[in-house]
Amino acid sequence: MKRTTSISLPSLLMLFLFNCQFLEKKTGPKVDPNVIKEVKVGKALAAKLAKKYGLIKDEPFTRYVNLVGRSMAIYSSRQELEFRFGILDTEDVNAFACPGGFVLVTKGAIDLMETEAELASLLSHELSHVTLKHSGDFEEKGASILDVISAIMAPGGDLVSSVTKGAVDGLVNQFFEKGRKKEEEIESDKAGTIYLSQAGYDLESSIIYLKKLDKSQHNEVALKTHPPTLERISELNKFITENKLNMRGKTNLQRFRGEYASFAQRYEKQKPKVTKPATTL
Amino acid sequence: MKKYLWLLIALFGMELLSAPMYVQSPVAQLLEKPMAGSPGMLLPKGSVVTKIGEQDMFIKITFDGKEGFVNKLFLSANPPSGKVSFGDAIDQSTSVKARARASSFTQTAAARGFSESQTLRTRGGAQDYDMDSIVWLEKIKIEDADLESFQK
Repeated sequence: MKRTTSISLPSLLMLFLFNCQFLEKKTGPKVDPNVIKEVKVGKALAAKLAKKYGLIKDEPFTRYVNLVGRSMAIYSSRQELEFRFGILDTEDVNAFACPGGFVLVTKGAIDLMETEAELASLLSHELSHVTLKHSGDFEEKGASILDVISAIMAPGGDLVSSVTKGAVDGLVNQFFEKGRKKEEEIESDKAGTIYLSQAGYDLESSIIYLKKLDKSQHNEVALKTHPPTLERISELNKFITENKLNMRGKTNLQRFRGEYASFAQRYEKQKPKVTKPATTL
Repeated sequence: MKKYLWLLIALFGMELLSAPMYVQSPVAQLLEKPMAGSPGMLLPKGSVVTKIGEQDMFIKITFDGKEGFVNKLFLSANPPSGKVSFGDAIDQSTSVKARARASSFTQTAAARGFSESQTLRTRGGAQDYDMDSIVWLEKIKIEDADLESFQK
């Protein structure tokens, strides 16, 4: 124990610099330290959501959701991020955009959908929150000693440092309980249609999904943390018209039906018990 | 004196407004008007443009002597870089490591007179996070070829 406490500051800094060099080699050159911090916080936040609801570990369907998400993420300006899309095991209808590219949608939301374009519309909305940095910039404001110590440890093992935890708790409260700013939600709705349009998806699917969300019995949190659905639909329609976007596109109904039916079968076999009710984070 | 101060503030403001930005998306277009359906030209990925304003979902820029608008989804304030992926660097379960660290930290802290709960709170409380699931998610690799065949 004495040895741990007697490490001098210069040695710590040397080790810290060595660790940074190692990280750079692993991830490629010139990675912005703010982005590294963003990914750390996002990963911790995603892990917190996974703990709360449970992550469905169905590889074929998760792969399919990731393909839908990535087919739009390739147009994002956040090329430094590896976008990941996962499914949370809850009947609640909701989706979460964690900083750093972690997007988690609930099984309840997917259960409402009938086409791939509807799934794409939800993913594109969340993708936009990440691209437009609606969770902030995660600027490095000087590392605390805990940060330095955690950075010395193995990469990936420093995800829940006290600093990360503080940021995660702040984000949970700000975005998932109180909700983001109304303007940010509207902006993500609009941006989402740009992604949908680039990937060739049907834009009306966004409106179809929003109407389903509004009528769902498990929408309490989603409605509490988003602007009124009618207002979102009205703003979306206005944006699509003003920008002369082509409303019609692919829905990929058959592919979605096939993938979803196989998933539902596997889900029922593997998890016959009732899904977890929502609790506070 | 005041006159110079205002001049300095104005210059600083202009410097902030005309910031360099980077084309990071393969579909970024320099549009004539701030609307998605406006005619435009494709901007090469990696180009540096100068931001001169902002309007709704669009950023007003200059590039190669031309002025126009680009959707803000396609521009970044950060220059191109490698992908950030911590999953690739993990050679064992993160939560196992977190538990191991929590354990050694607990021993150290106990020797200093802290309780285990105080220690875990300081470290972030590994029990509140399901890192294994996120590591599982990160292991799902999507190759360019997979994406290409999916989009067909």
